[in-house]
Amino acid sequence: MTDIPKSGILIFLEERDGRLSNISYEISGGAYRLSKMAGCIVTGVLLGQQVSGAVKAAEKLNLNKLIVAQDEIFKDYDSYTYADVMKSIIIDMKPELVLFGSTSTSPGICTKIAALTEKAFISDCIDIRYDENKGFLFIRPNVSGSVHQSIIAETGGIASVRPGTFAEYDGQEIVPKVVELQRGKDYNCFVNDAVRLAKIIFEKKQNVDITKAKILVSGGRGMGSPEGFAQLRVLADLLDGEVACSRACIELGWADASMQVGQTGKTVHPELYIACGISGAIQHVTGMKDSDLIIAINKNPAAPIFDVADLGIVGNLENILPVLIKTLQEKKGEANAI
Amino acid sequence: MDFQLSEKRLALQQAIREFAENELAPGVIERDEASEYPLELYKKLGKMGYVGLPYEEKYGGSGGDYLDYAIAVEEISKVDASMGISYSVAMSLYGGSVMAAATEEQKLEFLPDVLSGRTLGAFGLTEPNAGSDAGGCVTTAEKKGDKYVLNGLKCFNTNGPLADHFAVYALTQPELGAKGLSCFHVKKGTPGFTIGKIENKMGIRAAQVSELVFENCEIPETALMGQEGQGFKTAMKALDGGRIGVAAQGLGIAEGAFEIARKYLMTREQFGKPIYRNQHLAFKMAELECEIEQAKYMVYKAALDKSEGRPYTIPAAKAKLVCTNAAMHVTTEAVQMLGGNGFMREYHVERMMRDAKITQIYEGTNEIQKLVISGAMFR
Amino acid sequence: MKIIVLTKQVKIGDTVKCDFAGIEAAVRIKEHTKADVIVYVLCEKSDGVMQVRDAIAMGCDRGEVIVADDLGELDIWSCARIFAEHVEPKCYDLIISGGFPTDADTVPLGLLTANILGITSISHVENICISEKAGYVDIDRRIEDRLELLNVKLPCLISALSHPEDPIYKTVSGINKAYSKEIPVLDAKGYDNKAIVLDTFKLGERKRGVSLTAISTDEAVSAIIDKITMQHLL
Repeated sequence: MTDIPKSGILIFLEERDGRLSNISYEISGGAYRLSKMAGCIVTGVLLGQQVSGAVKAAEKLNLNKLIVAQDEIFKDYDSYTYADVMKSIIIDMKPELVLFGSTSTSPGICTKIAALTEKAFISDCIDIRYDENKGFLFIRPNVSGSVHQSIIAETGGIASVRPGTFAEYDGQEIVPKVVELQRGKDYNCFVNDAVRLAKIIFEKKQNVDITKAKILVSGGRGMGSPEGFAQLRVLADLLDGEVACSRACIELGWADASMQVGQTGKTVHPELYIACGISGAIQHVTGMKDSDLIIAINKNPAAPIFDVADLGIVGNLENILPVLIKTLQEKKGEANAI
Repeated sequence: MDFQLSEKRLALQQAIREFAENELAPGVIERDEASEYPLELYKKLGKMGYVGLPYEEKYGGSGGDYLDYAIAVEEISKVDASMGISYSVAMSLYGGSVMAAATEEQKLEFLPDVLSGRTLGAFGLTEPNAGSDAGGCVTTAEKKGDKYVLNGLKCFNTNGPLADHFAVYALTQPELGAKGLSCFHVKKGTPGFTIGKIENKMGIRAAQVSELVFENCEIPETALMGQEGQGFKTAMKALDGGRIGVAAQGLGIAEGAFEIARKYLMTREQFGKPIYRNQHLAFKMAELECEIEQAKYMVYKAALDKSEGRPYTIPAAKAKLVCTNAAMHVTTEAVQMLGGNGFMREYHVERMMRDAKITQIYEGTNEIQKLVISGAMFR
Repeated sequence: MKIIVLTKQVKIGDTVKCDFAGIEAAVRIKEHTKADVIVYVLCEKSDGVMQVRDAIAMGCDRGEVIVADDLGELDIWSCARIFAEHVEPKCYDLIISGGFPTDADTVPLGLLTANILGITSISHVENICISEKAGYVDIDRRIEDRLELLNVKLPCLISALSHPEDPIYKTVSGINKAYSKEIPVLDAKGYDNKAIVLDTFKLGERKRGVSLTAISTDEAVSAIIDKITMQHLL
C-alpha cells in the first residue's frame, strides 16, 4: 500500500430533479483538496436521464475530467445499471479512490461496485485524509458514534462520505475535459427484470432544508396533537429557526418527510436543537446527537433523550411551551421597542 | 439447593419485564386516576401465553409452574399492581377453585376461556358480613329440580365488572354454616345475576372491584363444582394459591418502589451532593434491600413447594405476610425518601404506597395469616 | 417460504450490541405467510447463543451461531464472505439482513453478501409481503422523501428497517421452544481484510447534562432562556 499509482480520484456526482445534488458539491470540494495533497487528478461521473442542467453546474467544479452519460435507462434509480457503467469506467481508469456521498441509495450501488471490482468498501466516512506514507486514511465513526476508527485500504477502495464532511471548494481553478459516453459503444444496457418499480409515493415536500438550519425546534409524539405540534412553528419563528420532527410525527400526519430527523430521515448538526416530547430512541438520536447544544423537554424522567441533552427539563409541554413562547414574544417586543 | 433461576426461567422473567415496561408502564398513572382497566393489554398478555402460565396446556394454559407464575405476577406488579392482582385473581382464585373442585369435563369447559386471556375470571366469596369469617356467608343456593337458585350479595369482588366466568360460593345447606358451603361456576349474563356497586378505592384503582348481586339466579346443576358442602375446603385451597399470587404482587410493588428510590437517591442533589451520600438514607436502603430479598425467597419457596407437590399452606401464608408487609414498608419509606416529589403522582411511589395497603388486607388479612401460622405451630 | 436471517453482533468493551431488525421482519412475515425462518448470528465466542434463543422465542424456527474470535478486526468483506460461504449451500427464498445501525457497516454488509451470492438486494425495506405474482415479493422501500413500491423476484436479500413502534415480544411457547434444544455453534473460516483499522480512538462521549425535575413552569422557562442566551443564540 505504500506504492501509490497516481491514477486519480473518481467521484460519483448525483443528479436530482435536473440539478446537481448538494452532496456532489461537497464531495468534489473534498476530492479536489485531497488530489492536491496526493498529486493526482479528479474525475467526476454524472449519469442521469436529463443531465444538461447538472452538467452545467458540474463543469464549474474543480474536476480534471467529467464523464457524462445521458440515457433514459438511468430514469428510475436502479443500482445495477449505474454499477455496471461505473464498473466499466473503473476498469478503464483504475482510480486509486472512488468517492460517493452517503445517501440511502449509496449502500446499494457501492456494494455492487465493490463486489464487481473486488475492492474495499468503507462506508459512512466523516473524514478522509492523505498521508504520504500510508495513502488515503478513512476516518469513520463506528458503533454508535462514540468510537472513531482510522482505516486504510488496498488501492482502488470505494468510500461513502457523510453529508457535511467536506466543504465545497470556493472558486474554480481547473476546467474539466468533458467526455460523453454512448450506449452501445462505451456501456451496455443492463436489463434487470428482477426488480420492478411499481409506484413511487412522494411525501409532501416543503422547501426548507433542515440540514442547513442553525436552530431546530423538533417535536415528537409527546406534542400530543396537530395543534400541539403547530406550536413548534411559533417557537421556531421566535428563535429564527426551523421545525423538525421524529418519525412518529410523519406517521401521525403532523409533519412532512422533509422535516424528519433520524435513521430514515436527515442527519443534522445545528447550533441549537430543542427536542420537545421526543423520547430519544436511538433511531432519532443518531440523526441529531452532534448538535452543538441540545435542550430536551419531556414529561418522562427516564426518557433516553436526557442522556444526550445538555439541558433536560422534566415537565409538561402543555404548561411550558405557552409560557416559553409568551416570554420570548415579550422579550422580542421589548427589543423592538428599543 | 440451587438459588439460581434456570436460563429458561430467566428468559421468561426478562420477556415479561420487557412487556411490562413497554406496554403497561405508559399510562399507568392515568389509569389509576381514572380507575380504568386496560382490558386490551390483558388480552395481549394472553396472546403471548403469559396468562395461563401455571396450568396445563390441555386446559388452555401454558404448561409452566407456579414459580413461573409468581415471577410473572412480580414483574407485572413492579409496574402495575392493579394488573398484577387482576391477573392473580383470575389465575389463582378463579383458576384455583376450578382446579380444586371441578371434574375433568368441567375443567375443559370452564378454564380455556380464562387461561387464554380472552376473558377474565373472578371469585365470589366475601360478603358484607363475611370477611375474615368467610364461613359466615349467607348467600344461598337452593336446589330446585335440575337447577340451583342463587340469592344473595357478594362484595369486594376483583374483576367483577369485567369477568365472564365466576367461581361463586353459596350455602346449599344453610343450617350447617361453613360446612354447608358449595362452589359454583356462574357465567356473566345469567338472568338474575348482575353487577352491583363498583367500588371507588384507595389503591389498585385500575382494577375493577364490585358487588355481585344474585336475585333468584338460576344455574344448571352441572355448575356445581365438587360436592355440596365441600365449598369451604375448595375456597381455602384456592386462597392458598392466591396468597402466593398476592405475595408476588407485594414483592413486585416493593421492588418497583425500591428501584425508583434508588435512582432518585443517585440523581437528586442537595447541599452539593447526591442524597445517597447521606448515610442515613444509604443505610435505610441497605435495610430495605435485605427486607425485599427475604420476601423474595419466601414467595419463591412457597411457589416451588406448590409446584413440586409439597404442602404449601403455611409457606404461602408466611410469604403473604412477609411480602405484603415489605410492600407497605418499602413504599412508605420510598415516598419519604423522595421528599416532596414522593407525594406527587408523577413519581409513582405514592400510587405504589396506596396500592400496597390492600395487599395486607385481602385474600386473608395479615392477622388471619398469623392465625394460620400460629394455629399450625401450636396444634 | 424459506427465510434466512443474517445478523452480526458488535462488541464494545464488555457490551454486546445485537440487531433484531431482521429477526423482527422475518417474524412479521410469519404472521401472515407460512415460512420457515432460520437465524445465523455472527459473533465472538458464543455470545450469539442468547440471541438465537431470543429469536426463536420471538417466533423464528431455529438458528446457528457462527463464531469469529477476531470479529472486531474483520472488515465488511471478510464478514460478507463468511455469511456468503455459510448461506451458499443452503436452500432459501429470502434472506433478511438487519437495518438497525449497530455499526456503520450494518446495512452494506447484507448488500455485499447478496452481491457475492449473486442475488438481488434491496435496502431500507419498511414492509415486505408475498406478491400475488408467484415467486415475487412486494416491497415498500423507504428512502429519504419517498416510498418506493417494488415488485421483486425471489430469491433476493432485503435489509430491513426496524419498527420500534411495533415491538415483537417473546411468547411462552417460543421460550419453551428456544430452550428445548442445543444451539449449534460453528467456527468461521478466516479471511483477509481489504480494509484495515489502523487506530481506534474514543471520542468524548456526549455526556448527560443537567436534568431539572419538579421545577415550576416559570423556572423551566427561565432555565431554557438562560441557556440559549448564554450560547448567544438569542
